[in-house]
Amino acid sequence: MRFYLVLILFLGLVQAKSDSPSILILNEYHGKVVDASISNHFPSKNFVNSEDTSPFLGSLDSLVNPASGRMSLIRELGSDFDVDYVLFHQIESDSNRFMLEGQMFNTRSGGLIKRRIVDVTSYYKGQVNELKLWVGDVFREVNKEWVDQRKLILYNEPSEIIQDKTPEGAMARSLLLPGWGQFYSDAYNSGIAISSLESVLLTSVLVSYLSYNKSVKNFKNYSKLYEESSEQVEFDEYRSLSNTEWEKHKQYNSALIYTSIASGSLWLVNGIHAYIVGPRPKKDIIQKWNVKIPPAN
Amino acid sequence: MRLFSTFLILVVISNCTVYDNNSDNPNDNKANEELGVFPPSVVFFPKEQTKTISDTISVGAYAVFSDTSIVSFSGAHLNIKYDDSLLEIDSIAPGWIGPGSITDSNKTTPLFTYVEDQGVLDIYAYYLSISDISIDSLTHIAEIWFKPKSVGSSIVSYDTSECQLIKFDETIIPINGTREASIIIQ
Repeated sequence: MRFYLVLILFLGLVQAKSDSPSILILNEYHGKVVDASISNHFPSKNFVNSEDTSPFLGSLDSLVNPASGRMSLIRELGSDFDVDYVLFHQIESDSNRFMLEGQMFNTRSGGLIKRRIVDVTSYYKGQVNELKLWVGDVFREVNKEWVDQRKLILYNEPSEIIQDKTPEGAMARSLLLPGWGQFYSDAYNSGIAISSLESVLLTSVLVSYLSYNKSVKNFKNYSKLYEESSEQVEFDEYRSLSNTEWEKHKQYNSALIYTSIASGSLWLVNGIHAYIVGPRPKKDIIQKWNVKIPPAN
Repeated sequence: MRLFSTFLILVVISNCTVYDNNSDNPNDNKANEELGVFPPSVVFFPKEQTKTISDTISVGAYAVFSDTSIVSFSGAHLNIKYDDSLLEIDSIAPGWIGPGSITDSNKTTPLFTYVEDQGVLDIYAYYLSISDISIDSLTHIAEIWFKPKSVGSSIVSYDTSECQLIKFDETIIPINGTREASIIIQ
């Protein structure tokens, strides 16, 4: 009795193995898709290939009833190729993105039982990977590696995103060297304006400082000569020169203070400005792409 | 760059000094007039000095006349007071500088003598010449060297009631002002 039960179970398994569904694959690729042989990734499935995709090129959405619009065609293909399902794939691409449309039909009913349209940025072996994900999803045999590979093109969680350029980085650079943060943030006009203005102010500070020092030196020198003089003519001359240099040193001192205040203020403003114009994550991360919908039959 | 900005700030802070313009030379008529001391006057130069106990202190005694008139100067008697508890006379010499100095004309040595008594110094300097000496602004009458005795500060001053400036015709020139000298011994 036990022997018969085992035999029946074995025969059932053999029967199940031989009942693997057969699928007709129809691929319409725009350009070359590297290593697009789906059968290699699903060895348990019975794939049948065909190249005549012309009946499927029309837009499915243009049909009155997309789910049943191709019933007669599907039944006919199922009969001709003796398959259970028909899988139609269409890939269109440009330099940056590609679109994959997958359609799965049941040859017994002729109806559309599954459909997927994927419009993504191109990534390494992305088209094949999207095909595998699509077919894997159809047969519930999705490999984790395929999912991980797609994650390469997905954005991280905002908290996990490490920005190469930040407003803080821009501010730090500008506080170190006026204008640097603006150049770092690609704000070239303000960078040139701020660095030029700061250069002029710093030069003014330097000139005022040197002139102030020179006047102080001359003032002390003439004052000493005045103190050491013994003639009224010399008193008058050195006193006049000393007074002139004293007036100059006061003027240069004022110029030094005001240009320093202006320079320091601009330095701070430049740091704040760099923070404001500093690089930030883009809010609009969705790229527009003109999807070409094939014309209706 | 941070070092540069720090340097800049330090430079600005450390160089915001506005110096005082105290052009004051006791021998300058204009400086004296600003202080209300009008010629003819008797002054000391320098007006103040700070020395240590081991230094020798030199003070010049001058007569300042108007630079717009000429005086036929002949001699002077200066009565000088100082704190003899802090200072003692080291030596005294006749003046020597400037045109019209009492040692200048024809290199004639003047009659020069002095008396020192308990913080009072009397100097007598007379030009012995048959022609008068024309003074246009300033003459150096004497140079006095003091020796510090102890630490402190002392004023060296003239007693104008005792001082005299004598013309060539032996008339007295009135003294309109005087300036003292300050000596600090550390």
